[in-house]
Amino acid sequence: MTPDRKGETVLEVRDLHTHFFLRRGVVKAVDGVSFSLRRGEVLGLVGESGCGKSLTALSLMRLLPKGGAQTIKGEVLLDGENILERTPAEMRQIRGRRISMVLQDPQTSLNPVFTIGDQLREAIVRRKRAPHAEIMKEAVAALRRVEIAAPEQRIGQYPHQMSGGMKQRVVGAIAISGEPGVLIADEPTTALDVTIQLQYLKLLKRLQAETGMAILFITHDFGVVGRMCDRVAVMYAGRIVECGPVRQIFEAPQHPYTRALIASVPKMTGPVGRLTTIEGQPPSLMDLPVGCRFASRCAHVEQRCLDAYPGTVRVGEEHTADCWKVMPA
Amino acid sequence: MALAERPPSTDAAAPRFSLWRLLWPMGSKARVRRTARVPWIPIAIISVIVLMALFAPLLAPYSPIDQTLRDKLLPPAWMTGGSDKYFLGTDAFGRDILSRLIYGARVSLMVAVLALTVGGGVGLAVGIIAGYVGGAVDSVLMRLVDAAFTFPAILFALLLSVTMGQGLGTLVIAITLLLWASFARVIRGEVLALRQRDFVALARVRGCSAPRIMLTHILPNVLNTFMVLVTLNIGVVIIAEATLSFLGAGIPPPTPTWGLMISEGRGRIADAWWVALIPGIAITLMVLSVNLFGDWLRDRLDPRLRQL
Amino acid sequence: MSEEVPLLRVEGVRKHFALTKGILFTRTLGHIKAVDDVSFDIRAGETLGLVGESGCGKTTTSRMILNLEEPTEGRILLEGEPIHALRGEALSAYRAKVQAVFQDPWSSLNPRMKVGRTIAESLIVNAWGNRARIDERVRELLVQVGLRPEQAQQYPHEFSGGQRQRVALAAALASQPRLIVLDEPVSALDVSIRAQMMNLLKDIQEKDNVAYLLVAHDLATVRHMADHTVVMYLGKIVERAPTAALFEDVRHPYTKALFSAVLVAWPGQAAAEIELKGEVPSPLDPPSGCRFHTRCPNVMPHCSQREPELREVSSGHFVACHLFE
Repeated sequence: MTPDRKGETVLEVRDLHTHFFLRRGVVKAVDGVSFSLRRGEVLGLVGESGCGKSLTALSLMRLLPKGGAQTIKGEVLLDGENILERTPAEMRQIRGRRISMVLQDPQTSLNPVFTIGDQLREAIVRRKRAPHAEIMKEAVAALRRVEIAAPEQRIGQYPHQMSGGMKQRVVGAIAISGEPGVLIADEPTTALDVTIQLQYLKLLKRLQAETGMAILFITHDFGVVGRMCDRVAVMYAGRIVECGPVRQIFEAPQHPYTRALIASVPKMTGPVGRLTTIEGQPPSLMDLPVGCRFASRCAHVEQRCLDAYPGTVRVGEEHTADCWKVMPA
Repeated sequence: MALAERPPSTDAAAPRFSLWRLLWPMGSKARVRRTARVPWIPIAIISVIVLMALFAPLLAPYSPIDQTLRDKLLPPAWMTGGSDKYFLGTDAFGRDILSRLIYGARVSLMVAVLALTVGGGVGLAVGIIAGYVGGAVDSVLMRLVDAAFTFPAILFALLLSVTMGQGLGTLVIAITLLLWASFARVIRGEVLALRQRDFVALARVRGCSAPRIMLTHILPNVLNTFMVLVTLNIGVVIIAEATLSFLGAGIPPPTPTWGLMISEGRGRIADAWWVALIPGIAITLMVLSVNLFGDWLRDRLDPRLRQL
Repeated sequence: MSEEVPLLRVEGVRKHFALTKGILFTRTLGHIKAVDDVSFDIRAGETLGLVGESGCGKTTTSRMILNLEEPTEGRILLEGEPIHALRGEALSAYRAKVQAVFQDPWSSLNPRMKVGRTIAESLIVNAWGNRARIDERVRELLVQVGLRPEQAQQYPHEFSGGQRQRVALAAALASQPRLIVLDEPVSALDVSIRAQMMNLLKDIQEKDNVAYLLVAHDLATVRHMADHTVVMYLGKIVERAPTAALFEDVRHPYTKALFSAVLVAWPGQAAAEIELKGEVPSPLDPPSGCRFHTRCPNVMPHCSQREPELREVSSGHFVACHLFE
């Protein structure tokens, strides 16, 4: 990595809309998401279930689930090139090499009937032609890179012979074998135990330092955000409601949703009392309000919140929030 | 989040088996799932055959048994030599093939209903008990199932008809023996998976007895699978009845059954092909229709059974 | 711990699962020591947190307390009475006193049963009252857990994960139990829903004086809920203390590592980080001596030879480690 390239934007998402078209209506699961990701940084994408964070990731990979999901608007600029306009064949070339993904469940991410070596080889062969011995050597190197002990033995093993943490490392090795510029990690540690989670996060950080890749880290856990991310984007009902550097989001959250969410997390220090909760339910994605989507659950709601959606307001350096209350008068 | 985001796979299905809700997915609220098109043509064919069986005395133009020997072996009405009196022609005894076909549907469906109720019911009970109780009970029951699969059912049916005499009862017993084991095996697999679900452990914690758990917690959750198995096996039963009747181990003549009709017509296949072919077509249409309907029902209710 | 008879006492409980091969002529390949000599008390109206990573035996322990598994050795007593000897009437009475809420809201409710019927189940099997009285109680319970009474007529698929967990709690509360085993009750829920559920559990405890056994991997949840905390590793208790004391002064090296692995939300707030090397060894063939010695940053030569005893290091604070002898 050349130092001057650090900080350069590698992925820019502009006004992304991915909707599910069902017989009973349109589910606006991703509805106007914009963010950018820079080389060598980790951007956290946080939100509760159903907020659209995973579908955002799948839209970037152009791997939408079957059943009526479609990206209808927006741009996904990977190194300045809009990959939404690429053909499926070109997209297959892009996936794995320039943008790659790790999913939550290591159990289902690996094929149980092939050895670890076979699955790694498949990823390597896609990229280059070389004699078998050389490819196997590269597969061993890939395992060593994700700190799997005795990779020469592990390469001949099947997924069921490995623990969850080890499997997730293999998944990681496959994902980064093509040296992608962008790695999307969708809750990669949720299925792991805490001590194993820490190992995995540290590994990701080390790999990032080596390769300079940008990571989009999707999670619901603020602890993971604090440990991993440089910046964080908070999603609610299909939109990013606040985005900024981790420290600022934690210390001075501007959007009432972010504030409530952080307050509701049980802490390891401080007084033990009743936890703050957010009452009510998120709005139905089929029938979104015209105004602010959080208005119905917000403690500071006003008439203008119900009348129109607040624009994205810059509240600090690199810190934005979608809220009327932060708008300069 | 790990579990909360999991799509409610099996639970999204209707809380209770309801044919109406299946056929009119638009009518029930919030239940749209992408699925194969409703098989209207098979449903129409099945409906016609069921109606034929129910109202046979009203629909059939002639008695299915009475012989009119001077009209014997008349071809269907649209062929040269055919008579307007007998739309599908007559057989060697001058009996109207259409009337026999209509009455024959009665016997075929009666056998299907009885055999599936008895055989399916036994299989359901064995599957639930073996799967839930487990241990030695499971081992013994499953060895019985294995034994039943190795059993030459047709041979046994022939034997049974010799010792017990031909008739509906014999036929139903024979087909039951053929069916129950496959039901038991599939249902047991389903129960093994269900037993791992937390609600079963919680039912024990609440103090439910084993029979109660099997009846109120396990049974309702395997009914979908059971219904799918029943539909997929209607075809098997109809063919089994036809085969046994053809071999002379089924319903005794002159009662018309489709299998018997083929059997009676096979000697004259060269000069009077319609006698054997028309019931053959009826069997093909019926079995094909119930299988297509069953396939659709399986996709709809229980996608996990695809490998069947 | 105290002089009075505790609500629940777990006494030297072991659970070994035999790993066998073959059907007719079974051969035992080995024993998985899922739980190995575990003892603790739960007092009426208090919450005991049981913490550890997967495979530490916390779930097996809770299943033995629920009488879903028989211990290989040792006893569990409810109000002084050994529970695994109970049969018939006495067992039913026990079932009514000890209830459970499990982790997975998608698996906890029978999808083909109306939730009202699920909640009423323990009342029906215990012939608690006539239909009208049971219906009335179900409505009461639904309100108590923050749902609407008419929701009794709905099926589980009409509920969200958080609501299902409330239904499961209502079903557990129906028979007015003395103890509820909460096996990861909030870990499958969203952050904001999690807080609601935890507050609800605390409110109910305050009102009904029910005791909880909270099985969890999340230390912050345990800190907010539990009065006492037990930390397990590979089937053994490594540390046991009043929660406040434990969080103030962590002693056992494993507990320390566990605490440091908890990702504190505030960046830069984490204490000295201890990254454990490797993974938890197999319970089929646990390490000799102290089971943690293969991964322990403070390992001493005799750790692999002698098993450490659980000893009191300060009032009510027990640690099983050779460092404190």
